[in-house]
Amino acid sequence: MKTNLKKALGLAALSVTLLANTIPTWAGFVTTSLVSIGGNQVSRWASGSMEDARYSADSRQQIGCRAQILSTYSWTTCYATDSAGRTLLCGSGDWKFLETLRGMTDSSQIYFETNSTGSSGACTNIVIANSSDLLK
Amino acid sequence: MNVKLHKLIGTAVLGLSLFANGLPAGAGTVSHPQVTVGTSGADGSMAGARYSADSQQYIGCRFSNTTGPYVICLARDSAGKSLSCAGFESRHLAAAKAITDFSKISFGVTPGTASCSRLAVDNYSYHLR
Repeated sequence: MKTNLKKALGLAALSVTLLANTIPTWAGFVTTSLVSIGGNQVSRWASGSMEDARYSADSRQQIGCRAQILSTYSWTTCYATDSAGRTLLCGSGDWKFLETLRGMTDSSQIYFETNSTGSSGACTNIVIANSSDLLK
Repeated sequence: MNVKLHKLIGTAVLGLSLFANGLPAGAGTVSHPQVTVGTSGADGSMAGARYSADSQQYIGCRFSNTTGPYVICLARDSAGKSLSCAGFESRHLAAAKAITDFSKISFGVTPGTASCSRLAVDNYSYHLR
């Protein structure tokens, strides 16, 4: 009985040691950027990081953009849903927005604006941020 | 004897499983420079800043092309010293778009202004985490 207990404790110690070595204690400056949607009387905006949306506690949040090149024109769209289920979509055929999306990564923080007070409208601004504090 | 052997093998398998899952075969050249901020420039790697021991460091850029090229790069070192610059030329935007999760970023500020004098983005295997 005593031997079994010793063995069990030994195994547990081994496991903990190995686990402790495999999970690094990450520090560094960190920013959490969950999806938020806001607006005023003339426009609406959405903001959030890809990773914080993907790994948020709820199952609603999402944010992202699509860069689409068709036969004669481009069509860029950005879409966001916050934790309350509010959504915002913007779309534009302006190449300048497609250019911006080319700098997106898996950890990017996205900010976009529409000229509408509804849940969708034309894109009036798209900003991408790539920074160490957004990495998981 | 047979039971002991089974237990020994079991322990070895458990140990190897945990070891294999957690520790990558970390060979190859590795370089994760932390953030350094000078009077006219800053540099550092995304991984070096994010996974540093302190909670101060960061480096990165935000960019847009809505009203023409627009790039702002910011950095803060472990002592809390920070520097930023802004660039409004196509070359600044082109460089900023090359930033990935594991880039090394280096930027310079034109003395007496807030303008970016240079922006360099290194994407090398040895900067990967």
